[in-house]
Amino acid sequence: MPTTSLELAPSRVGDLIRSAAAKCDVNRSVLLLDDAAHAFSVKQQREFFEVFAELRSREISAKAAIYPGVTSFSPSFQVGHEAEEIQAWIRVDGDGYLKSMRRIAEVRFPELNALLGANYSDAVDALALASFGLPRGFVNMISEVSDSVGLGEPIRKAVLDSIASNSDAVGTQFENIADKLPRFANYVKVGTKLEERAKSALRSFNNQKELSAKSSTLALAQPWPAELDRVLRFMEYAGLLRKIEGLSKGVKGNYQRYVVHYSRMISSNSLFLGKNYKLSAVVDALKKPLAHALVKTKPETLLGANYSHGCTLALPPCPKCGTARITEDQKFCMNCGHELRSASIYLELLKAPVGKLSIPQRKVDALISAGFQTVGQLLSDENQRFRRPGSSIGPIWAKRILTVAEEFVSV
Amino acid sequence: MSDHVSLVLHQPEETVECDFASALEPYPGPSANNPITDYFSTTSSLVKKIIDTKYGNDSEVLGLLVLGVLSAAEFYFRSVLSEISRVCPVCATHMEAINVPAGSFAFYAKSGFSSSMSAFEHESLADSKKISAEIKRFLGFTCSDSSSVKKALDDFELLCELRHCFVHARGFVGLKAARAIGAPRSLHKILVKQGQALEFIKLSHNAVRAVNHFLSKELLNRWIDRDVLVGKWSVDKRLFVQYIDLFLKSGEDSYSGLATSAYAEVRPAIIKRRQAIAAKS
Repeated sequence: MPTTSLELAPSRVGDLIRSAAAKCDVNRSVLLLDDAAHAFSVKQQREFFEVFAELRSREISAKAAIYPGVTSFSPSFQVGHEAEEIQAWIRVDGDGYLKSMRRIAEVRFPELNALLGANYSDAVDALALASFGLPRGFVNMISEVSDSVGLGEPIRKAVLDSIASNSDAVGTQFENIADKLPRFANYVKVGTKLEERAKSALRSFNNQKELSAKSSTLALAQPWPAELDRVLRFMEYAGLLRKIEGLSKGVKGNYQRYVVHYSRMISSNSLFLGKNYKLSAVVDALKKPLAHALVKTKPETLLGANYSHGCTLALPPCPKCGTARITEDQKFCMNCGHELRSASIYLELLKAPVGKLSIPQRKVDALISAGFQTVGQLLSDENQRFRRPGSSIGPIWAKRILTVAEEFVSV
Repeated sequence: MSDHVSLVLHQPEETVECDFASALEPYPGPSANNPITDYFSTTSSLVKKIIDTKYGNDSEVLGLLVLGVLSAAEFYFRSVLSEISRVCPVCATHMEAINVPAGSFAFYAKSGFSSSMSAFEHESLADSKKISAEIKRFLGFTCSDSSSVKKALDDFELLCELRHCFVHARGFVGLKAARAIGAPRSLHKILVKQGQALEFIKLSHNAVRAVNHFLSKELLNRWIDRDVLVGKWSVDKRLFVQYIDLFLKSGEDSYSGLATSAYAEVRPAIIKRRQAIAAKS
């Protein structure tokens, strides 16, 4: 059967788009490229951003959704130079937030007002706040409530159940990072612990507080190691936390503020609202949080003194067939039989100084000056932060260094 | 001897005519791989059978597969010791005094293997003391008690005890084996589970790697100490390439298989020694 090969280099795609735009008599084309971070593996993401950078031109503007922690750029792609980063999250404490969410509810669910009656306003506001700025989550929750109430379930229960279900979905999304990026499975465990401890600290804080003084904000004392930074970015990606403005307390130090996902706060009763609270209590506790109502703490207070020891890269899958390891002390791949090296050797390799890599001393010096002391630090950096302006490491060398590092720990 | 009576307690034996020679197939010759690569290539096919669900829960089959790995390890020890005589002029001299069965030398000379293999014709290398002794007898290298090769061979020794039980007693653990592996002094049978089979194989791999590392290190340092290597690539190339070909396991080395890269690490030691000699004289 005759076959035709389709040769689609980025330049060819660019030509096709320009030609199509010319036929439509438009000067500029915008490509909306969604879900790269969700659908692609790390390697594919890097290749994707290689193509993304190639497509960019005077006539073509490409847009892609990126997420904290899970998006890996190609060595030649630098945010700020190749693309501008725009924060897409809608602030829940913003002035127009509830208003715009109510509008969405009115347009998408015109029959809801009649269905919920006097509870409509509180239910919609509570769901809007619980969605934590994600319209998709908001719409899903309303839809769930609408179905449940239609089946005769009490409104309060239906709303709280849908919030609990949204909370579970957020938690699952965070846990799924361990499947998508198996190497970071241990980071996910640390994140789970951090969230639990944060909610516990907030629950204690909220105990006996008036509704208007309740808080979902955590202020973490800086600085912290790069490993925790990665954990926090994973949590941001899943939506467990949202990073907001920092807090400077002068000589007492600087804090970074994070808001815990409202669905998670409500479903775990971390707002300390009592047993049979009204939906209006949820709204009053969350709609206008006081700026000074927060829990100031240190990462080590929440996680223990040696928490960064838990942030180690998990053992890689079989280097031959890519099958994940079943246990840490597995000796052979259970799919292809390839011999696997022990966990202790892997951990030693991760702790090895970057000078052990077979790269020129100048590149080693550049890595060290960029703050990369160990091979493990290099491998857990998804954005190639070692590529700084003026550094001797360009895109080609960045790629080579990562390949050498991968080979170094290949067990 | 008296012949008063004979009872029929079971069926009599039958006449069986076996053509043993027909069970043999001509073998084209030694593998093109060096001994360590040959060992891992053989054992990897056995490992694949062990992880296969068809055999994964069958203790008897798993035990036999482990035996296969031990057999491969023993063959590695034989082949690496005999191959060294082809590469190392010092070892070849050392081996001159070793007696071999008369016919076996000619047999191996035609086989493609080193004729030194004939020295193992009536020997078994399935115990650690014997392996250490043969390394000493063939090459003159001593495995010291505190060395990692001794530790790896001691672990291998435990496997050899299990091998003994499998081969001679249907897997029943005798007193000697029970003492060696620290088992209770009552009758036990070895029923290998899949995970254990893989652990045993790792011990065998360790022994092979440890011996390969020990021999390659001792040999290289002997060459430096006895000025077999002179520090010039053009002169040392022939010998050094043979050395790399004999010991290197592709994919596990730090030199991407390049003899020149490995030599670059060795040369400073040769030069240093030669400079020290020059300074003395």
